[in-house]
Amino acid sequence: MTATLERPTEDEPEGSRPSPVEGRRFRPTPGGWAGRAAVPVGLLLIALWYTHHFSQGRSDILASGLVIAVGALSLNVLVGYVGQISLGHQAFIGIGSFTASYVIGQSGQSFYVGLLAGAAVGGLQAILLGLIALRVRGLYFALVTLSWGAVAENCIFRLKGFTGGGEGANASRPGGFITDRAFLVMCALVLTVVLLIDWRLVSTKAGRAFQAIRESPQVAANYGINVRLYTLYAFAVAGVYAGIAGALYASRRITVQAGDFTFASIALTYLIVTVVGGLRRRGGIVLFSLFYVLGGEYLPGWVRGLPLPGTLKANAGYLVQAISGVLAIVTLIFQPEGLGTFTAPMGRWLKGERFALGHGGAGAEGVDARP
Amino acid sequence: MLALALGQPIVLGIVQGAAFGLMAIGLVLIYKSSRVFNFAAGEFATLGAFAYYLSKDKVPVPIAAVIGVVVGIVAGLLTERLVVRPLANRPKVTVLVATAATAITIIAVQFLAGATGKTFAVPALWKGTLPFRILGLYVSYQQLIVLLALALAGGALALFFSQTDLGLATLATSQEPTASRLMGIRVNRVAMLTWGLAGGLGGLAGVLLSPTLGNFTPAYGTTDLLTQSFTAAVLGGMTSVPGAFVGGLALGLVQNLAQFNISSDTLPGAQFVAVLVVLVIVLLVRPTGILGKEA
Amino acid sequence: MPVLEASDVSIRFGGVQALTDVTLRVDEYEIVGLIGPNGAGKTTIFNCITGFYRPQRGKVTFKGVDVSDVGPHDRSAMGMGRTFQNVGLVKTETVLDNMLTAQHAAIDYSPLAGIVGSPTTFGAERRLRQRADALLEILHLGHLRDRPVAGLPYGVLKRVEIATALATDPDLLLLDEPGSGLGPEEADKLGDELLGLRHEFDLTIVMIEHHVPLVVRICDYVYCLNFGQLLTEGKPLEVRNHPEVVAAYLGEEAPEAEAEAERLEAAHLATEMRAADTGEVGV
Repeated sequence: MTATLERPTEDEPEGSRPSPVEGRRFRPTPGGWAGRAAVPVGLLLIALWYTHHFSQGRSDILASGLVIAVGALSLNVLVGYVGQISLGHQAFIGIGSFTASYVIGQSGQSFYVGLLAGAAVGGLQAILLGLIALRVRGLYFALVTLSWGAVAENCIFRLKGFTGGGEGANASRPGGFITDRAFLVMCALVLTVVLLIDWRLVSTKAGRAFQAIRESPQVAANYGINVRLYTLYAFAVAGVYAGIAGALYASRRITVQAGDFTFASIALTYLIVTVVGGLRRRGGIVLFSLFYVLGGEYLPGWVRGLPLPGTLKANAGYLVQAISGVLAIVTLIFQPEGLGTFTAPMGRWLKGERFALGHGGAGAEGVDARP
Repeated sequence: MLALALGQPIVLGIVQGAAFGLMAIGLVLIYKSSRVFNFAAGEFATLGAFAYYLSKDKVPVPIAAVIGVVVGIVAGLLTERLVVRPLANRPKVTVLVATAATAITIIAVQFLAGATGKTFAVPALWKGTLPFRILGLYVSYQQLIVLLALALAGGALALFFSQTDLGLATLATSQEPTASRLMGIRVNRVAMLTWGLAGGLGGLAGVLLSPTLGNFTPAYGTTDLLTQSFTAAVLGGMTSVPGAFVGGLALGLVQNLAQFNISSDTLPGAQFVAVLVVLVIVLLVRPTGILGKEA
Repeated sequence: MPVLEASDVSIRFGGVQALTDVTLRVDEYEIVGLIGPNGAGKTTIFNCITGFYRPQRGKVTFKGVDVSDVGPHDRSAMGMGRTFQNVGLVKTETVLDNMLTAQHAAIDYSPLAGIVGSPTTFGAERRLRQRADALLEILHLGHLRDRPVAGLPYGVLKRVEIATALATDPDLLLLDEPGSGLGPEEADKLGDELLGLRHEFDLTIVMIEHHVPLVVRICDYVYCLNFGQLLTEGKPLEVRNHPEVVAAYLGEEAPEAEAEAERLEAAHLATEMRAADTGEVGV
């Protein structure tokens, strides 16, 4: 054991690199700032060019990616922040979706009311599930979510009064956002709000409480954190994000059906997007959500040009799912931070730090919540 | 009439429950030896059913069934080697997510191969029904075979774990991995054994259950078997082979009684609600399961 | 007035009686030592005091309030600060983040205000940072501020933990083996430091400690536990020279019963959390 009461600098662990506090003293030159500002502006221009230069359908593809991003951020709160697994996110998203379409389609309220209702009901169902999570931990809780997803899929979404049974439910888009292009803007706005909320969440009281709970509920309680309350709080936040994602999903599709929300199409897909994007890495998650939908759009076209069996070409739309599944396994084994490995340094650079790969800081441990 | 109202769910429940039991035993084996929850298990069954379906016209049906089981075994072994072993020292939640990712990969491959929206008709191993009725129902030979398979698998594995060196070694690995390694038990071999067995049991469940219904759909192991088998395993205490056996049968009964007695107009998907209710009650009231020992 | 009173605390895990009728009394501004061989139940009584265990019999009174039904987080908020034998820090966070997290109970904005980015939260966060930095400076840890906790040496972690315990703004500090891993000279310095902290923050301290010289030097009063029972209590030197204490420490070579007790206790904790087999820890 090294001497610890000596003058501090002597017991620095070996191989220590400059700490980020030293890095933060670095200030970019005006040119550096301009370069940094050019990146978001450039991305925005590319997005505008992409959506305006091409058909409305292109906008819809991007919009669906943004919806996945919101849903994956919801999963990120549970898996990434408090270390609770959810394998039933089709329930979270679907309940938000059907609530919104019920409020919009059957009660004739506006899209905004539907969005709020979806968020509220999404939050409520998540709190109910959270109450079970307080008693049933870890792997066993994953089973409860799996089963809850199956109940939502086969029971709740098929209740005639709520979801219109097999015919589906209608959710019109808000005035001014009717076209796909305009609705993409709506999705981007909503995603921005969710990202801002999420950023403040992790930077303040609740976020720190989540991280302590994820790692050790005992330490969290010792720090004065009410573990049960904050676990429920995390579920509520995740449910609200998912409800929002669901409401956007409904209005993007205009009609939603029970078959849209299955274990494979939502729960597993969103989980994989979250993992490959990188747990606790907002930028990576948003980026991979977009890759996922763009891959779904363009991969089939590229594959059709290759000398491959006909059935594979005909069903190449599923290629992105297969590749993402493999990517998720590879990510878990080799790169627990996922795409966050690259987006996090970018984010720090944009905020005015030096560009440096590697320094993951807190949270670099991927899914490995508990040691 | 009464006999029919009760008889049908009971017979079907026992048969389905036997398939749940087979898969549940596989889940228990893996959990016992490595404390992993295997969410790819459902797709082992689907792959088994697909192998059976694809080979049924090329070889005699019993051989097609064996091929189905072998494909299940191979799937189990590959999952262990490629997904689970590289994550050996990582938290179990990580491994769980990885097995879920394995499931979606296998499902996506089925879709890629053009299985979307289709049903696949599969023949019975042994056609025909018993010459007499049970509870007012004709029981098919196939249904008997499913039950028999569960009884044989359950019995054989119970013997294996209590009587053979390898079986005891497997148990030792689950309880004291480091000590077992020191004592010369090859942990990797034990893992391969359990995953292979679990894959085979999954494949067997897929091969045997799908003909009782006449056909199957892509990913059906995950959508129709996974939740139920896990619940059955939990009902049995998650570490007990006989428990998984009994849990499977019990769950098959519960699910079918709920499905037959609650019309889908009142409550669609009642069987899934019943499974969730059983799962939550067991976890909250008796987490050690009906046959599990106190920890 | 006693800050802390534990009266007739008894707890059993499975078939093992871990604590039998243990009674402690800690007065304001006292430093009380808790000694005893391994497995004597020292950490168990800490867990009863801080609310992680609920004793089957007996009660715990803190600042005149019966806290027997109060959860650990509320006891922390009431002013109990604690360190753990095996370091209770959030390992993936930086030292600074641990200091911020530890001030949880003192934060006056609601978690909702935090996530909607209410302007008051920015000021509050700045004040938290200032207080954290000040505490880190006092403990000479300022240079480690932005280091992730994982990877710091054990001795440093023990000090960081004292800093986080101070960050919870305690009136009573419960230290579980603060001197473990320290040489005699360093233990001496730790003693000076604890005396200084007591003065500066007006603290009452209870500490489990094996370094007998450290205990003798800074403690005002000492309790000795053995086999879950109070063996003796009194002034440090009296306790150290008590024949039964000497015998108990000599008898430490045959701790099978204690090892068994510890094993059962661990098993109990595990089942209680129902997470034993998922590789997780819970409360």
